[in-house]
Amino acid sequence: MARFLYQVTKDEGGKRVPGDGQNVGARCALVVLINGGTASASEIVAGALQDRGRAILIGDHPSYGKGSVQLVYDLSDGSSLHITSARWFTPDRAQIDQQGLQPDILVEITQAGIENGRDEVLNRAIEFLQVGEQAKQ
Amino acid sequence: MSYRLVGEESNIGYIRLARFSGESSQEVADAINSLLAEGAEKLILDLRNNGGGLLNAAVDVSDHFLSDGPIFVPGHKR
Repeated sequence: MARFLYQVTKDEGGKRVPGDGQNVGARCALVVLINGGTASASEIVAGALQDRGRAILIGDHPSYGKGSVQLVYDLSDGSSLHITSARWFTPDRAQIDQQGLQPDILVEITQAGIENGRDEVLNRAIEFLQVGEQAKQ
Repeated sequence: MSYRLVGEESNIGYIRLARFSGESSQEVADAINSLLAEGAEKLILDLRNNGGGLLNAAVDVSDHFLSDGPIFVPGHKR
């Protein structure tokens, strides 16, 4: 199945570039964990999955908000291409720069959790997947 | 990258990815396949403290979880 990269030109027209992928995890319920250290390419992934309604984001903090990045492309001859990009947009054109991605479920890390070595964000994700939408309340 | 089953019924696959490198796409695909084979019915992708990396890798990893459609839109502000 193809995935597309949309090229946004000055006149806001679009152009689809087909790509390839394996889609092996396309049918399972999915949660992505983020925090303030989730940046750049990670925000692309999390933002795309959130925007497409494919995954919910769970974390104790919004993502970093690094929207202007240096992109590094691997080329087929083994060399790499570095491009300084202007801005990132998710498929629905939401801008990642500066604000970061907002978790769908914001988890509060507690002192007790830290002292007892609990990963409260992961636990919340497990609970969400086991209980479903009800766990959002 | 690491992965394991989590949850009381061990039916949730957990994948931890610290960075997007050239091997990430295949590693994540392999992890998903392993977890599904071991009984995972749902997935958690942990991108906490993942500062980024290769764009190609990020797009391909996203693609493992999507059936089709756009991943991102590179844009320019006037």
